[in-house]
Amino acid sequence: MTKSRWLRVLALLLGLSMIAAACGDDDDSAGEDETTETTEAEGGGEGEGEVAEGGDLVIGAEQEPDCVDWISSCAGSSWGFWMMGNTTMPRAFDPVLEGEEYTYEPSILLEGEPELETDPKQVVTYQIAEDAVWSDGEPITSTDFKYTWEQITTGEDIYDTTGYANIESVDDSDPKVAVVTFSEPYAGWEGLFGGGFGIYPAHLLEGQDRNATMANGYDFSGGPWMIESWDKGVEVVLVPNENYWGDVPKLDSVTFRFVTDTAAEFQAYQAGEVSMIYPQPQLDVIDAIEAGIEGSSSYSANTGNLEALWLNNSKFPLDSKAVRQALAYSLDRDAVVEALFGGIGITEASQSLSPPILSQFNDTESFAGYTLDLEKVDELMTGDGWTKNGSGIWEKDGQAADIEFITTAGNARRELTQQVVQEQAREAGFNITINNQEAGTFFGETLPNGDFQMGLFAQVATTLDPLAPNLFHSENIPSEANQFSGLNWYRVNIPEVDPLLDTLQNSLDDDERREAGIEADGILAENAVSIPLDPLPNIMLWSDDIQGPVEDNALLGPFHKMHLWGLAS
Amino acid sequence: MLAYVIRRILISIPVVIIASFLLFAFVRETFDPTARLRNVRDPQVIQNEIERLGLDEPVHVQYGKWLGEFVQGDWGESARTREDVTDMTQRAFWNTLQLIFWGILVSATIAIAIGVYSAVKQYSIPDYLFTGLSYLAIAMPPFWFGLIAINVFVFKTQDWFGLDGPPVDFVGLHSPRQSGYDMDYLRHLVLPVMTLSVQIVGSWSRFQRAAMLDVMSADYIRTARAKGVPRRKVIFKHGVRNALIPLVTVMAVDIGLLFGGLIITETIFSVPGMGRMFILALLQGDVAVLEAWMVVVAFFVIAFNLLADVLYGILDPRIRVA
Repeated sequence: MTKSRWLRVLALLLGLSMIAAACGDDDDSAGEDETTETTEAEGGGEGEGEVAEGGDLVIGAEQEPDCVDWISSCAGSSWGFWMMGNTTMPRAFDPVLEGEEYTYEPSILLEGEPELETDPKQVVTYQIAEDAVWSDGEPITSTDFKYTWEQITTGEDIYDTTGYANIESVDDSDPKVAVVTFSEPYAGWEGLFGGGFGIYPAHLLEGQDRNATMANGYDFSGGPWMIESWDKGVEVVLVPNENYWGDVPKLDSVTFRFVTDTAAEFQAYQAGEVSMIYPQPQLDVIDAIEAGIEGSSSYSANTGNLEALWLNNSKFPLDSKAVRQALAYSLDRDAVVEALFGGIGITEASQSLSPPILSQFNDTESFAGYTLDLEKVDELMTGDGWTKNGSGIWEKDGQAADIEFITTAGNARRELTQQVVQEQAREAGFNITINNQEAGTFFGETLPNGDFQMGLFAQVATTLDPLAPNLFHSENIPSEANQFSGLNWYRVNIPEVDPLLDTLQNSLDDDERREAGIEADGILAENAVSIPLDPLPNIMLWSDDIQGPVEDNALLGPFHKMHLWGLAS
Repeated sequence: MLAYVIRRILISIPVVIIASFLLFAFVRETFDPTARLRNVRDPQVIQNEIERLGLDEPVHVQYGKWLGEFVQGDWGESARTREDVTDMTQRAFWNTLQLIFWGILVSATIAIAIGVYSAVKQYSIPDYLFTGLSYLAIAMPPFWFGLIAINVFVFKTQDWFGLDGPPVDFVGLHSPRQSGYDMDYLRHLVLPVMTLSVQIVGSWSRFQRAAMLDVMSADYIRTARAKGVPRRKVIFKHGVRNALIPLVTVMAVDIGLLFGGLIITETIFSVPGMGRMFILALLQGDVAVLEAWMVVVAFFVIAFNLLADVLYGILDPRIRVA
C-alpha cells in the first residue's frame, strides 16, 4: 500500500471512530434529571426522607490542592480541605450554625464538651470517644493529639503554629484522655486539634517523613471517607471508610473532577457531567443563574468572607480621619452590592469589618451609619480644610484628593466594583484612578509594603477566631519587630483600640471578648479605617438526584454532610 | 549532514542556558513564591520558606545551584506542590502529547485535503467556500470556539436529534474513574481536538493550496501532462508530493511550538497538560517547574526546527545542507 493510501485509510478510520464515538451511549451521564425548579435557601435544604444506598456521585471542583499534608505550608487550599481534609481527618470540634451564629460544638470524636480550667494555667481535658477508630481499626488516642501538637510546633515547613505554640504539654498517659496544658492562655482553643489541620495518626506516622507520606494523598482516615485515588489535575476519588464509628456513607464513591474554568464548569453541570458545583461568585456565574439553571441551589451571605475597600490609613489623603469618613459617606454601598449580587438576592452591604460568621464577637451594624450623604461629605471635607477645585475635586494645600484603587487584575466582578465606586466617589469630589495588579504582586508586595492607598479584596476567616486583632492591632503593622509579617497592612494605629483587641484575642471569657469586640468595632467604624462592602456569598448548585442534607457550612464547606447523601436511581 | 546536525545542537545549548537564566531571573524578580503565605499569622513560616527555596541568596547563585542539579538529572521539587518536577512534567507532557498527536493527525489530513482540492479546483465555488471558511477558522479564538463547540455538540445536538444524553463529553480525557484508549476516550477527544485543529486547519490549508498552485504551474507538471500522464497521477504523484515539501517544514515548526502547551484548550476541556502546568507555575512563581517546562519546550522547538531543515533536504534532493 502506498503512503497516500495509508493516509486515506487512517483518515477514514479516524472519521468513523469519531462518528461512532458521537453516536455511542452515554453511560456515565448524570443528566437525566430535568427538574427546572430552583430552590433558593440560605444554608441549603435539609433533605428529609429516605436516602438511597449506593451510587457514584461526581462533583465539579474549581481548584486542586497543592498537597494534602494539612499542617504543611503547601496545604492552604480551601478546596483541598473541603474535599479531603474534613472528610478524612478527625477533629475535636465542629463549627455549626445555630440560628444566625456559628459556634463550636464537640464533634463525634469526643465524649462531650472538654473540661476547661483557666487557673493557674489554661488546661483543656479532652475525653475521646471509646469507639473512635482509624480506618485500620486502631483506636484514636491522646497520643494522636500529642503527635499532632509536636508535629505542628517542631515540624518543618508548617503552615501555621498559632495556638499550638501556646501549648506547654499534652499528657497522653490515658489513651482516651488528652490533657492539654497551655503556657500562655489561648482564647481560640476550640479551633485547635481540628480547624484546617485535623488530628494525625501517631501509630502510622511516628518515625516517618510525615510530609512525604501525606503530601500526595494518604490511605488512612478518621472521618467518614477515605481517599481512594488522586489523579493529579484530573480527579480525586473518595470511598467510604467502613470503620467510621459514625454514619457510614451511603454512596459507593464520590469523584471530584477538576474543572478550573468557570464557563466550562457551568457547562459541565448543565450537561450532567458533574452533579454539583460550588463556584466563586463571579459575574458570569450570577448571570447564568439568573438566566435559569436546572436542579437546586443555595446562596449564603453568612460566610467567612468579607470584601471591603481596605484603606491605607498612613497615606495621604486617607491618613485623615475626616477624608476616610467622607469617602464612606460618598458611597451607596447597597447599590454596589445590588449591582454585583442582586441576581441571587443579596442586596445589602456588610456593615462590619469582620466576616459574618464571626458575628458573635463584633457589632454587625457598626458601619450602618455610613450611607450616601453628599452633604455630610461636604461638611467633613470643608471642616478638614479642603475646597473643591475647578474640576470638582477636593483639594488641600495644592494637593488633590487623588486615590489610587488597586485590586487583582482579571477579576471581572472586582473590576465592576471599582468602576461603580469610582463613579460614585467622583460625584462626591474624589478622583479615583484604577491600577490593578497581578495577585502575587498585590498580596505579596504591595499590601504588606503599604504601597497602596485603597485596595479591594476579601479577608477570609478559616476559624471562628476573631480577625480584628490581626488586622487592626498596631503591633501587627508590618515592621522589623514582626519580621514584616504583620497583617495590619492598613497601618491602623489607634491607641485606644489596641487593649480592646488584646482582650478580644486573649480572654478566655466569651462575654468579655464579645464586649471588647463590639467596643473595638465601634471605634474602628468611627475612624472609618476601611469600608466594608459585601460578604462574598457562597453559591452552591446541585442536581435534584442528590438526596439528603445538602448544606453549606461557612468553614467546613459544602461536603461535610456528604456521608448522609444518596443518589436517586 | 551529521556535522550540520551536531553543529546546530551545539549552538542550541548556550541558547537554552541563556534563555533558562533569563526566565529564572525574570520569575524570581517578578513573582514572590511566599506571597501565598502572607496571611499566615506565624512569621516564621515565611522565613522558613525563604530558606527552603534559597530566596535569600543572589539570583545567579540560585540559578547556578538549580543548573548544577538539573544537568545531573535532578529537576527539583515544585515549590507549590512539593512534587518531583520530573513526575509533574512527564504527566503533563503525556496529556499534551495526546492532544497534539490527534490534533495534528486530524489537522494535517483535513488541511491537505482542502488545500489540494482548492488548488485543483481553483476559483470554483468550493474553493471560495474553503477560502472563506479557512479565514474564519484562523480568526476564531480557541476559547470562544471551544465554548461554542460545547454548546453546539453537547447541548444543541441533544435538542436537535432528541438524544438522551450528550453525544460527546468534554471534561478531561476520560469519564470519572476510567482510563485506557477506548470509545470513552474518543468521545472525550472530539471537542478538544476540534478546538485545537480549527485554526491549524485554516492556516495549513491556505499554505497547502498556495504550495499546490505553485507546483501545478511548474514546468515538470506541464511536461508530465504533455506526455499524457493521467491527470490523477499528475496531481497525486507529482503535484501533492512536491507541494507537501514546504508544508512539512511549516508543520514541523508549528508542532514544536505546540509542545509549550495548549493553554486555552487544556483549560476549557480540563486536560492537565503542559499549558496548565505552565500557567499554574507562573502564577505561583514556581521556578523549578517553569524551568523544566522551558527546557522541554526549547528541546522540542529546536528538535522540530532541526527536523524541518533535515526533512527539507531529504524531501527535496535539490537542497542540501552544509
